[in-house]
Formats: sequence, structure tokens, C-alpha cells
Amino acid sequence: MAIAGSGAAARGIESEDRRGPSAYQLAAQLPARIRKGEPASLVLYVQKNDRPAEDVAACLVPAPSFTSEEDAMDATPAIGADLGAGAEPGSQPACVGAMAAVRTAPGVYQFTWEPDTPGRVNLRFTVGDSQLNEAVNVSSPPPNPAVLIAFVLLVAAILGAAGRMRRTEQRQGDLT
Amino acid sequence: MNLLAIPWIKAALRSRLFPVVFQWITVTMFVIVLLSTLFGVNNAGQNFGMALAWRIWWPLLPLSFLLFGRFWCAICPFAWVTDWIQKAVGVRLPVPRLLRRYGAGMIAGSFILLCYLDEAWGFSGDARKTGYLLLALLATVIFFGAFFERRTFCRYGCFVGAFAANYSRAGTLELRVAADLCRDCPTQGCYRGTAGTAGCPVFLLAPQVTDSGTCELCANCVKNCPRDAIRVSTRKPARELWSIHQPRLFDAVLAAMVAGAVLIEQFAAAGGWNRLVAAAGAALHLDPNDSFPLVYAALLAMFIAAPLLGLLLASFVSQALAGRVSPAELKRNLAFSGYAVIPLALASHLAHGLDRLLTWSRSVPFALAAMVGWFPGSNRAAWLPWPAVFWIEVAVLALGAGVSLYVAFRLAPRQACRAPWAAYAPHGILLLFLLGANLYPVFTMMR
Repeated sequence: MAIAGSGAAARGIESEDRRGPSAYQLAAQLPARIRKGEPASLVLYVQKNDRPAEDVAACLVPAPSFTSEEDAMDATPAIGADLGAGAEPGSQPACVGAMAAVRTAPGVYQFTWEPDTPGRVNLRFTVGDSQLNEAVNVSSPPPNPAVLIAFVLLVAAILGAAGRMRRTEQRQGDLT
Repeated sequence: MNLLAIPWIKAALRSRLFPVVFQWITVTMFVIVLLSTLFGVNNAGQNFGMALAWRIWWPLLPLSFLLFGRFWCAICPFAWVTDWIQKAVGVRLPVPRLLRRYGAGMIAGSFILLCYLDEAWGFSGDARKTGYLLLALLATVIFFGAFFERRTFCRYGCFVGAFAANYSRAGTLELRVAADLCRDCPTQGCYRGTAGTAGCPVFLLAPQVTDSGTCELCANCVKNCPRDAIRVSTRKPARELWSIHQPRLFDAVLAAMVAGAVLIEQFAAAGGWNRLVAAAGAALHLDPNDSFPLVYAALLAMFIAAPLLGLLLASFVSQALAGRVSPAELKRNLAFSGYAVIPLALASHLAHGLDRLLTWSRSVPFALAAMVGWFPGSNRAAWLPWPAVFWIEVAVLALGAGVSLYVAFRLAPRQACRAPWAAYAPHGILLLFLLGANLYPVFTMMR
């Protein structure tokens, strides 16, 4: 899967879930807005006892496209990012980019998506018993301008060529 | 019954507003779909254009061919675009020989390509991809309209033609002429047109129309005929299939091909699909996740080839049982028996469409509301509970198979007049096998 940074500004969020020595402290760096179908950086920092965790790792993950028919069936209002209710497993058994403050090799963690209000979804990151919830705005990407420009140029070329041929034929017809 | 004997229908078909009024509606819808898929929310369930195109239009299309023949083609927005471009800049070149000869192959190819893109690249679930596909089609239509005469694209290039022709042959409406009235016709207005109305857009001379595979029922010939020789009649569904005068091998091939293409869509929506993809990937030594487009291409080829090979085998056994095995006889048997597959292919297409129509089309009004920023709540519920949809699908498939078996039964004496049962049995078995293959994914989904 392609992993890339989102153009939107990222913001840091920390979990308030500190329930004793066994709990993890989670912090996320999320873009202000994710666009459905486009890769986005969802960065999760995992610490234990104020030290980077040894047994879990955070990594970059792409936002899912959710363009399947199943997704189409679920039309819960969430403009442009109908991510569906319930768990969408985002386990990354082979994350490619370990992040700062995390010293271990890539590991496994989970996150779920839940529709919130229109245009927003809740991201829930889970590591062990610890959770981090954060709502993110979502929207659809615009059409590819290259496709639109190619279409306009192609149509203009077709119409121009046909128009020229027709005028030439008419001129020849007038001459004869 | 000749519908033109009913005065108001005749007046409507002769009116200049027919079928322009319908074209205005479809063109408006097309513009909404195009803009919505390109610029609206990229979600199949919430995008009005997506819902309209894939939940309403696509499932209803085969039904429209069954009920109204190829009338959709007369009011298709692309037909309007072709006519309009032709008036504006059209060069009106004659159809190239290559296209006339291999246009059918182009139709089949574009249909397979669309089936492939839909599943392998998720076109029907992605608004932007649907929008790009529409732009590509529009550019193709503009090209054909700008350079070639009449509706060359509709006749020789449109992917819908892959099933429109065969389904319309099974349809309940036909246009024919009283041939005796056409003798020594001074104008041939049906083909050439008149001052007020263009000639047949799909290059037909009305007296030569013997099947319903090409005529679009645009009624230009009704307006142009100086002798009132045109008849538009209702008929028993599928009657044309067993009374076909000149069976074409290509129609048989298309019927089997479409049956396979629809079948794979049924399987893709059913349980066990992932196992099938994994098995195909393993057989091809490909990772089904990373190389899904390749794996799906192989599966699509297999699903399309299977009914074709089945038909070929059934025809061979049929001729062998009748004691007449020769390439010419085999070809003739194959051409005839392909028409028997059409009702089952149509039923399969309808059943698959009903699944979308009766469950997912409820998103259409909600998507319309979402387009103007109003979210009236969850639209998860389908129009009908899934068990009801299931039994409707089973009934449609059973009906289609029944009609197919009957058509094969009626065609058998024409394939081998001395041993009709020998001609019938292999094709009957093939049709039952195809019915089973169609029922399997439906029952899997029910479980």
C-alpha cells in the first residue's frame, strides 16, 4: 500500500487513558482533514511509563479507500467518507515506517472507524487496554485535473478536425 | 397486436416530439450523473449520480430491453449527442469496412472491458472512476458523431449492444413492415429519410427488418413511410428466438459470453468468492491481493469461456447423437442453440439487477437529499427484506431457465429434424447446468 503524507496540517493528540503501570500512553499526529481514497498519515506514538514502548510500534498508515459495494450499502451520513459502523480492521502487521520516539521494529496495532456527524469520523486507536479516540474531518478528493484537461483538449481536437474537414468539403462542393 | 392501430399511439409516434421529449429527460439525467460523479462525494451510497447510474439505470436496462426492445437506444443521451454533433460539425463519412466487418467484435470487446473494469478496478463503487469512464465514452461518441454518418457508434461500437440485441430479440415488442406495401416504394424514406425526419439511424431498410436485434424503435420510419406500412406490435416474449430466420453464430457467442460475464458478477457478490480468488491466485502463482486485476482477468476469461465451451460441447454431442457431425452442421447447431441461452442469460442479468434494485436503490432519495446538504437519517434498510429478494431472484432464474428449455425444445427440430430429442438433450443438460451455476451464488448469499 502506498503511504504518503497528507497535505493537511497535522495535529497532535494525546490519550487521557492512564490507568496504571500496565497501560500505554498513546499520542497521535493526525491531519486536520483526510480525503477519502487518498493516502493520509495517521501517526501513533506509543509510550509506557513515559518511555517509548518496546513491544509495540507506531507507523504510517493510509486512509482506506472504502470504495467497495459493501461500503456503498452503508450510506450513513458522513460526507465523502462513509466508513461504516463497527470495526474496520486496520492492523498493519508489516508497517514500513517506524516513527520517532519508537525504538522497536514495526509491530501491530489496531484502529477502528466510526461515523460521527456528517463529514466526520471517529478514529479509535487501540493498543493493549489503552485507547485513543479522535474525530477527524473527511471529504472527497476533487477529480483529477489532468483527466478533465485531457478530455477538453481531445474533444476540441475532434471537433476542430471535423469542422475543418466539413468546411473543406463544402468549399470543394461549391467549386464543382 | 399492432400498436399503430391505436390512434393516440400512432399520433404520438408520428409527432416531432417523439422521442425527443424522452431524450431531454435522459440527457438531463446524464448531465446530473456526470457532474455528480466527477464533483460530488466519492461514495457510492451517497452520491446521487452513482445511485442513479448503478442502482437504478443499470439494473433496469435489461428489463427495458425485455419490455420495450431497444427503445432505450433511441433515447440514450449518447444518441442525442451523436445527432447534435453531426448537425454541428459532422463530416458524415461512410462506415469503414473494417468497422462493418469487425464492429461486433468491438462491441463484445468493450463489454468485456467494462465488466473487467467494474470488478477489477471497482468502477461501480467509485464515483470518480465512473465519471472518468463516462468522459471516455462521451469522447468516443463525439468522435464517431463528428466523423461518421448516422449513429455508427450505437450500431458498431456501443458495449450495451452486447446484450441489447439479444435481449430485445426475447422482448415483447417488434417493429416490422407489411412487405407487400413496400414493393416499388418510390422514396425508401425509412432508410433515406425525408425533409422533416432523418432516415433510420442504425442503417436499416424497414422491409429488411426480420429481427429485433438492431431496430431502436425511434419511429423515424413511422414518420417517413409514405404508405403506412410500418407495424409496431406486441408479441409473446422469446417467440422470435425459436422462429429466427437467419441464426448468426456471433449472436450465439455473445449470448454465452454475456451469460458468463453476468455469472462472475453473481459469484463476486457471493460467499466463497475470496476462496475462489485465492485458488485462482495460487494456480497462477500470483498474490491475489497485490495482483487482483490479473487474477480477476483470468477468472473473467474462465467464466466467459466456460459457457462457450459448454455450448460447443453440447452442439458437438447433439450432432453426434443425430449422426451428422461436420463443421458446417456443428456451426449451424451452435448458431441455433445459442439463442436458447438468451432467456437464461437475461434472467440471470435481471436477477442480479434486482438484487441491486430491491436492496440498494433505496439510497437514491437519500443521496438526492445529501446532495443538497440534508441528511434525513439512516437509509440502511432495503425496500424488501433479503429473503423476499432471494425468492424473487430464484423465481426469475427458474422462469428464465424454463423459457430457455422451451426455446431449445422448439429449436431442436430445426437442428436435426430426424432426431430432435438427440439434438435437444445435450442443450437441455447444459441449460440446467447453467441454471445450477446461477443459483449457487444466490443460495450462498442466502446462507
